[in-house]
Amino acid sequence: MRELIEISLVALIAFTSPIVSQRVKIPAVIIEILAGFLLAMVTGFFIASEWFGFFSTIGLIFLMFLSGLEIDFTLIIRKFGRYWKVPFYVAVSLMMSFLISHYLNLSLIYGVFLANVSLGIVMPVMKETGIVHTEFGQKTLLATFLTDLITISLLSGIAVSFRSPDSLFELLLPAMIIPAFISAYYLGRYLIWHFPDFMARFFDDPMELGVRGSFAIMIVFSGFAYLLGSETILGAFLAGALISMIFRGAGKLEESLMGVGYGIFIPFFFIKTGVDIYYRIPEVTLHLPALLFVAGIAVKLLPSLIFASDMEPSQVFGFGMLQSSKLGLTLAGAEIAREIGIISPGEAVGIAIWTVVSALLFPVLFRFVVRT
Amino acid sequence: MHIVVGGGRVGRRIAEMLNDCIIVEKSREQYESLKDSGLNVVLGDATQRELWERLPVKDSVIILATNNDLVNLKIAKVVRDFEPKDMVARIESEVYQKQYQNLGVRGVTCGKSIASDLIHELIESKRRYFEIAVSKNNFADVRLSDLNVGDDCTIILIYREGKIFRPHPDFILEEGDVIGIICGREVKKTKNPFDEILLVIRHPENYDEVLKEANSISRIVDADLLILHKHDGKILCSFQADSIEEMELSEALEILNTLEDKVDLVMTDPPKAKVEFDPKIFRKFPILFARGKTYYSEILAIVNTSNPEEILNYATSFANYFGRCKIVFLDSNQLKTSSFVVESPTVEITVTKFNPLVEIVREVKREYDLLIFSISNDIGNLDQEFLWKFILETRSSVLVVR
Repeated sequence: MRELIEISLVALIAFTSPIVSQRVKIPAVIIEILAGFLLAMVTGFFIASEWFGFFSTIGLIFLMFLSGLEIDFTLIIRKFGRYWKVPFYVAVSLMMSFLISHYLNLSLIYGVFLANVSLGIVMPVMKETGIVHTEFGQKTLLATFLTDLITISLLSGIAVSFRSPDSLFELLLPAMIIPAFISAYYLGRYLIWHFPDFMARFFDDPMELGVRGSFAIMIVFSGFAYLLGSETILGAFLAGALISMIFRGAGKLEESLMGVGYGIFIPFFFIKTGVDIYYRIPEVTLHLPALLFVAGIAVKLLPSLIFASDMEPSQVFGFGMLQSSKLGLTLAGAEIAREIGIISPGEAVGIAIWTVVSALLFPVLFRFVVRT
Repeated sequence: MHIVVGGGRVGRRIAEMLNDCIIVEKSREQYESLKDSGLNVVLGDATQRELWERLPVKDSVIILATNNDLVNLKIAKVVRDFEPKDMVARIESEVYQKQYQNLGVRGVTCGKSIASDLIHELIESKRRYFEIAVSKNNFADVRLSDLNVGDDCTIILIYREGKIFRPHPDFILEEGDVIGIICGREVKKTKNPFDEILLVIRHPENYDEVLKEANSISRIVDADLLILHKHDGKILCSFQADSIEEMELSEALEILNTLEDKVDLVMTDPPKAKVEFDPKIFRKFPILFARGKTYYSEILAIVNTSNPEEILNYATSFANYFGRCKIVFLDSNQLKTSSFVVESPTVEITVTKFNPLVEIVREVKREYDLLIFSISNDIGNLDQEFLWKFILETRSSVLVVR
């Protein structure tokens, strides 16, 4: 009975959070985290049950899958050379992130958290302000895609090396997913060339073949990554990236998958994050979120001075601010790092608080700067 | 400088539109009238060489605005020897069209009320849209195919009772119709895209097939065909090639680099595998990889560029000369930014719906006779790998434009 109440409440939150989000102009995922926190506080019984944990894991996998799917490889390939300062910016920002983590005696994985940026925040903000197709917008997107791609890879690499530090075989086994990815890529391209009518059904089919196929690819890759001793989220991310690369942008299929992901599974992950924050509040110190907040701005804002000669000062500031926003991957990374013991549960909650604050504050600052 | 021959209604209007202009008029009465209007007029017979020896012909555009084709042609023959910058004529009868062309005269055939406007467009060579009202004395009951607006202008639509009609050749004009016309250099390309075609033969075994296609195309579009080939270790450019040797790509490119502005189209055999072309070559002229087709009944134009004018020009032009052309835009935003969409009864315009890569591959697999795409490839999600597949692995001839 209690489980039925729990699932009903989660379903209601998933339904109402976009509506509330539109009213209060806060990302829906933040509403879901806050709702999870409030649920745990009000009901007192919202401790992760088996089914809740299962759906939350699927939600996390879906979140990573969609992160990979959202990366526009066509844009990266076309604009990489033209906007050469952007890859340079990403490299400097990454270096600074790891240097600061080292200087502050934090685990290496904090470098990934500091460097990461949320595409889930950047994209809607860009669309809303109508600057996606401007040069500034394209540079912002390129920086976001590149950072996302690199940080998820680093996150997986760090997690794998932490899990099996003594065995070279176990360390190298997860790398087997790379040949699998390349083979699947060429298979997909082969199918497009030889069976275009069939591949078109991925996008235009009354039976939603594309959604079913993508879901299958996501699960197979996640399972394969798990079997190889890697992270399921890396498999999911690669599955998303695979679909995006094969079709050079998933377009309409992405919309359908977003509907399934953000409409059904992903809210479970964010609500659970909110619940976890509530139960781990006693372990949290405000010192860590504050430190991460300042360091997070530094590693994004200072390198953006590279663009001082190409952009208005306000754009440079806006660029740095928007690149400082965190969300899905940081929360997912914190969860993984906590699971395998790189960070403590208290630290994970500290990271979650920093993430929520950055997701709330930086888009607002960016909008203000752009409008000004 | 412009020299207008004939100071009648058309000649006078043209002179009034141009800043720097001399009118040549034979009739003293007309001469006086023009002079009184403040126009720069010379009295004399334009068919006489002596008159032209006194005028600054070399840097001038000559506008033949008399209402007699035989007189215009006679004048053109005389003036040609003085090497004017350009010659434009008002053509009264289409019977003389070819003769005008042979003398290098660009012409406009239509009623007097619009002849001056169109000739002005030809001279200025600026793209401009304007409308002509059809009246009882002006084009009513005329079939569109009988209305020649010159090489640089084209009819893009007809308004009739609040409705827009596409300009089908069999459309018969009625009093009250309004004809929409666009003039400009790019329009000329859609009507007469190539004057000089260069056939580059690199592999002897492909010669017959590629020559067959080149001959057909040059005959249909009325272009001169030159053949670049290797013979006795030397690269030759001739009208005929009796024996062909294998030619390296670098050798062909070296010659091609010197031919900018001299060639309108390069036709060649498709390479056996993907090769690294210098993109600059494609910027100099379009390259057609020929598969031995003699006619393009089905054409597919893929608008994979943010500057689609070149593709649209060639697509419309090939559709006019050959068969049906399907123009596929890869992004609906292209339609908003592209002001240049040429209407033609044989052109079908579509936009990809879900994934340009998959949709275009599906189209390409339908075995079109000719595929057209741009080397810039900055719109849509087609990648170089698939563009090369279109060239190497289909039976279609492929035109790659700038």
